[in-house]
Amino acid sequence: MPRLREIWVLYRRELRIALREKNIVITSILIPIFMYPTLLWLTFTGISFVQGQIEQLVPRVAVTGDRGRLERLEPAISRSEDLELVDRPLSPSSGIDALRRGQIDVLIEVVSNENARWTDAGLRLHYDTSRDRSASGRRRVESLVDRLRGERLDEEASRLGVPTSAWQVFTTDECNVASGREMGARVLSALLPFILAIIVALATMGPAVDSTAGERERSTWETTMTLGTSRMNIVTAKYLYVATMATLGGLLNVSAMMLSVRALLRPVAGEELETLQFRVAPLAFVLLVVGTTLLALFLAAGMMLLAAFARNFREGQSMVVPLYLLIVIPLLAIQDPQLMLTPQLALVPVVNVLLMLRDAINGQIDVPLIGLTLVVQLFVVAGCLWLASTIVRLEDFIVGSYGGNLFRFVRGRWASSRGTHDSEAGRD
Amino acid sequence: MIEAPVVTRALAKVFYDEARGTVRAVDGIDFECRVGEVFGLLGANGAGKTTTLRMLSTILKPSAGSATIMGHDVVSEPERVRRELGFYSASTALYPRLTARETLDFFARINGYPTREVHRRVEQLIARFGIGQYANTRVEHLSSGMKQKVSIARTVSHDPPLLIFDEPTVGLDVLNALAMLEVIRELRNEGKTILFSTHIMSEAEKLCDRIAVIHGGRILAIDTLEGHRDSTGKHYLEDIFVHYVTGQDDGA
Repeated sequence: MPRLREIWVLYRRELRIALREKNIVITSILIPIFMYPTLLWLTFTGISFVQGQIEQLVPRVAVTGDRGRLERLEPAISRSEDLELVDRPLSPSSGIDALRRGQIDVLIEVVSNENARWTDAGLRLHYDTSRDRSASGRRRVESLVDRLRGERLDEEASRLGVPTSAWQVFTTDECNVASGREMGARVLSALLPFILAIIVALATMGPAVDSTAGERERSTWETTMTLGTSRMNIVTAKYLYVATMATLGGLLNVSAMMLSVRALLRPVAGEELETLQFRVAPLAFVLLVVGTTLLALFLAAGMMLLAAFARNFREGQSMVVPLYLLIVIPLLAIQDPQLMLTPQLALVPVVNVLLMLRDAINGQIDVPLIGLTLVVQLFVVAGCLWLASTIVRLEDFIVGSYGGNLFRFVRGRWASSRGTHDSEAGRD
Repeated sequence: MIEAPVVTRALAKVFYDEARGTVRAVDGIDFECRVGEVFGLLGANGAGKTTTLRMLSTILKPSAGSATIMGHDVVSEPERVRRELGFYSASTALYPRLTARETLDFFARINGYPTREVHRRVEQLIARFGIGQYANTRVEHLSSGMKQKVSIARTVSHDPPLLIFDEPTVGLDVLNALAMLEVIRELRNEGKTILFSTHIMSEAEKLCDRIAVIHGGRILAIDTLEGHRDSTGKHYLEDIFVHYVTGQDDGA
């Protein structure tokens, strides 16, 4: 039977040791608070800066073909501050060569058009999407052509006495019914679960490896195994400690993101940002805490199981990296807005929690599915714990006689299960 | 009152090794430790000393036979066994990020020392082993001599009746090794039962009340030093050891 007092003594020791280890403090506390807000801020600021730089570039536009038919376009380009007209005669082929060499950014080719009776000219735009300046030039030329087309239609309609609304067939006006809070929730639901999962995994890794492989490296593993308490208590205390650090990392990250999201998005969101409210409903907040804890419990169990076979910290890190990478798959999946939390997906660990969080932040609370998610996740965690407590009772695991080789461990167990002898556990 | 804190009966440990196949590290040993004595396990490297002590401290499970510590079976009551003994060996290091004081406090609490008495016990150990000056320093910053004192103090922190020292002087310089032997002697004088393994003849000669010669996983003889001298006609323990070991080889 687990004894709470003993688990508490062990748990307190683990926490005390962890908080004195620089790497754990960095990965489980400081990175969750600062890394992602800082990274996102740098990314958004960088994107904004690059976009600004591109906007400032004035694309060079050349015209080829029957230029006489462009009675409005060429003067409009000349007048435009966003475009520079290259006023030298070019054949279509030399124009394309100049475009490829980067001497011009857009080539407008006036082509023969079977509907010439109805139009001023047929235009073919040549551009180079591998260059930002050319891509920007294409957009600006298209926009200019659209504007000229509209002006021409207005003129013709006016000449014929047709009101604008008649040739436009219908007009549009926009009215967004989403509140600022709902739009803010939409942004948070796209951002938070994604970053939360990465941070919880990162915050789990250090403590999981340090409390298992780290103990072997420091030669304190056998010290721990000779303590006057049950192995189950030792595993439980270690597990609770790792899960605590992971949950703490996750919640610190959520808090940091909630507090900084407005500042983070400012460089890219512009004026729309002022209408957004980044608040989470009380029930969604509770689910956020519960979901973070469930993720932490699952990752703590998985990473401890893997790292416990390693002989040192570095080996332990290598062993848990596959699990870390495995987390990326559900992260990609939840970016698909079509993917909803269904009874089937509620059976898939991690995916179910992330979808539950996404939906909860968006204000979609489906109690039966949330219940199923919690049950499934707790069941998986219990399974991992059972496996961990079974393994930790195996003496070749305790003494590490398989030399950090998981395959050798499994083979040794297989051999010992078929014979009467134990796996090699070393002797003096 | 338990007369024999340690009892082993046909205790055996068999390993499987990919290269060597089945290895009988301990091959059916019987011995008893009496209350208040220093019982020495004397053997060369690979004789089976550490495997025996690891079975007694419940790190390993016996393949056959039985062993009891203070009347508790090592297989069915491992937690009780671990609380009744203090285990000291080179493979059981201290937690480097705890201070000396925190180390003693932790070991006393987890090994079942009465909670209300822990503080007093820790201060008592700090005074006894002269740890005061560095009691609040993390173990990772201590010298090897200081660590050794803290290690001994943590081994006795919960005041167990039985202490197991597995080659305690390995890696220590002469002065620290002598200090270690002196501490073991003091603990014996306080009434502790001590199970002591070594491959150094002089240590066994100076310290042990009774000596078991172990070789190839078997105990070849158990007696006091005088008893061994009478049985073999040899004076020095080194000669006695060689006598038993070569006799075993001859007979094999």
